[in-house]
Formats: sequence, structure tokens, C-alpha cells
Amino acid sequence: MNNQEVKSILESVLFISTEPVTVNQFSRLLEVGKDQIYNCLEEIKSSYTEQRGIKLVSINDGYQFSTNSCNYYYVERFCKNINLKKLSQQALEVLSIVAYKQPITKGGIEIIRGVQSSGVVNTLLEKGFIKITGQLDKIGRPLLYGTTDNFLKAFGFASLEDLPDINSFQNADLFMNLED
Amino acid sequence: MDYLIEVEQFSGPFDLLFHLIEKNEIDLHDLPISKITSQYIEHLNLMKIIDLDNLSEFMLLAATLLEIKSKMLLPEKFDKDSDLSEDPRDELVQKLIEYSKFKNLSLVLDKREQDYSKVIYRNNMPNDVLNITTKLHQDIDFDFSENALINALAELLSKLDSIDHSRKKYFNQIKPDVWTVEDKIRHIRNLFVNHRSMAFEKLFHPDSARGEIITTFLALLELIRTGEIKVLQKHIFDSIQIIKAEVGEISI
Repeated sequence: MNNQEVKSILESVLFISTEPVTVNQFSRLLEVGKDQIYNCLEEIKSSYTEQRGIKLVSINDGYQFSTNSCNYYYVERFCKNINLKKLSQQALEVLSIVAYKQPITKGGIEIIRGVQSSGVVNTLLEKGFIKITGQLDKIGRPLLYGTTDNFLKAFGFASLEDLPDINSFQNADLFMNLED
Repeated sequence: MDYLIEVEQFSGPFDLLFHLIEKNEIDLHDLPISKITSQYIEHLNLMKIIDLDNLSEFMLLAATLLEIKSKMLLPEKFDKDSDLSEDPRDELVQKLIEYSKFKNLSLVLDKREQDYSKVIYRNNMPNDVLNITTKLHQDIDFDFSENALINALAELLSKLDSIDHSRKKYFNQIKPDVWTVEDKIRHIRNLFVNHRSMAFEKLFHPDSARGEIITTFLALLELIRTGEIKVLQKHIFDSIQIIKAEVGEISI
């Protein structure tokens, strides 16, 4: 298959998909090598420039179409089910801890925050920002939590490596940020 | 004399302690334990009236602060027992620094959430309208085996079940949502485009249905939670004012 054909198929599948599709999945679907798929995906991605209403976003090793955030006002008016609810400060704190310390137990989260966090953890589980990734091999076998692709999407990270460096937050920075 | 007490919502004891340190521009590495302890307890007394949630954890930190304070009053000779003369504040400061990193990160995430919530993906649309289920995430299986057939049948049956189920529900009890919290959030936001503050009663039409009033109220609570608006009552029994939060104030 030449690149033109591959790109056309990729675009159709991406258009209809409600989840990120990975290079591996495309490779199996089209029976085409991963390198070619990857190159075609990147070409499609760069063909959607800032002026377009659609963007191709990479999430972990998958790809998915999204709207251009410039058009949010109209998209939001058009769709009824867009979630306008923001996360609370507590939820964001827990999410930051899980993002950096994963896999982490609820106890681990509570040690850092100094406050009981069950409710917040459950909310985040419900919203699909975190998931149970396993159990710790210790007394009580506590559950371990990690972040999901949904988390990456909602906060615009391509992967976990994309997160800002936690140690870059020195105290001086910290006070400046708080004043903002 | 009447005065207005504004108590911020703290997400935990470290958050409160951190707020005090920040407010007083204190150097974390030389914590004036006595000053900070009394301010912390003062704040706690205010909060006791208002916020009973997690009070025990706030109390625990107060006790820790008092313990450190008393340790620091002890004469130096105490240190001879241990090889290292440890500052009793060290453990707390370490915890506080660790917490502050995540607190800071959560502010970054907050900002990013605002930006990236404007990026919409297909899966945010209701599935029952578009009704597209992709097979891709189940990994396409080209070798057709018995198992695949059984699975396919099971899937088909469960789909039928869910259709029957939703049909039954539809005829029995489901009524369309006339009011949604999202709509009401939009409504309140629109009201605040032209007004900076507004009386609580103005949000509700005198002839609205109970359901609508409740939905509006839920939307109001949601906006208060996210810090977009604030409520204020100057004197007891006064009418409640709703104020739009300044842009910079949001969620801090």
C-alpha cells in the first residue's frame, strides 16, 4: 500500500474512533509495517495546522482526533453533554500525588497530604482519572493507584514523561506561583 | 462593632500551615515555631465553628506543632543522648516541602485543566446517540475460534438485554431531564457577564418548579466549589449576595 492509501484509511478510522488508536493496532488492521504507519500518522498530524478545526493528538502511544480549543465556545453550545464541572483543589492535589508517585496506595497519599483522602480517591476513580493498578504485597494488601489515559487527555499531556519536573518547584518559585 | 470574617477553605492541615508560612513570608528553613503554632491554633478555632470536616487531622498537626515547640524549650543537654543533634522541626519541614511540591503541581494542573477542558474528543459525546462501538480496543482477532463465536453471541445477548432493559425503563419511569446542572451553570455564568454581584433570590424565578430550583441551587454550589463565585452575608438575616470571583482569585 502506498502512503496515500494508508493515510486515507488511517484518517477514516481515526475519525470514527472514540478512543486513542495505537500504531500497533493500525499495523494489525492494515497489515502494514509500524514504521510506515507511524510516519503516516505524523504526516496527518502535521497537516492539521492551527487554522483547522480538528487536531490529531497523541496520548501515550495512541492517536485521536480532538477539536481545536479555539472553537470551544461553539462546540460547547452545540453539545449538551460537555462536562463543565472542574475538579476541586483536594482532587487536584491527590491527582498530582498519584501522577508522580504511581503506583501508590491511599495511605501513601494521605501521608503526603496529612489528611484522610478516601472520598477524593473515589471521586477520581469514578471520573476515570485514576485506576487501580494492583495490590501492594504487604499486610492488608492495599490497593495501588495510577493515572489513566483520560488523565493525560484532560490535562493535555502526551505521556507521563510530559509532566513538569516536580523538583523544579523550589521554594522561591512556589511563593511566586501562589501569588499569581 | 461588626466585622466580616473570611475563612478560606483549606484542603488539609498542611495547606493551612503552608498558607500561614506564605502569608508571613517565613523562611521554611528557620521556622519560628512559637509564632506559627499560635497562628495555626487561632485559625483552627475559627474553623471549628465552620468546618468540622477533617478536624481531627487539623488537631493532630496542632498537637505536633505544640510538641515541637515544647521540645525546643528543653535545654541543649538533651541532645547528648543522640549522636546527631537533631532539630525537632526537621521532620515537619521535610513533610511540608514534600507537600508544597504537590500543592504547587496541583496549581499547574488546575491551569491546564482550564485550558484543556476546551479540547473535546469524540468520546465525550453520548454513546447512545452516535452508537459507535469500536472493535479496535478489543484487539482485532483474525483467527476465528469457537471462543470468538461464543463471545460474540454473549455480547449480542447482553446488548439485547440492555436494549430491553432501557426500553422497560423508558416506559416505566424515565422522564427527560428538563433541567440540568450544566445548563444552570451556563445560565448563572451568563447572568454574571453583566453583573458583578446579585441577590441570592434573583437567581430563582418565583414561579419555577421545585426541580428547577434544586437544579439551580446545585449549579450554584458547583460554582462555589470551583471558586468561580462567592457568597456573602454581611449581617445575620441579611439577604445573601452572590459575587463573581476575580479572575486571579479562582481556586486559590
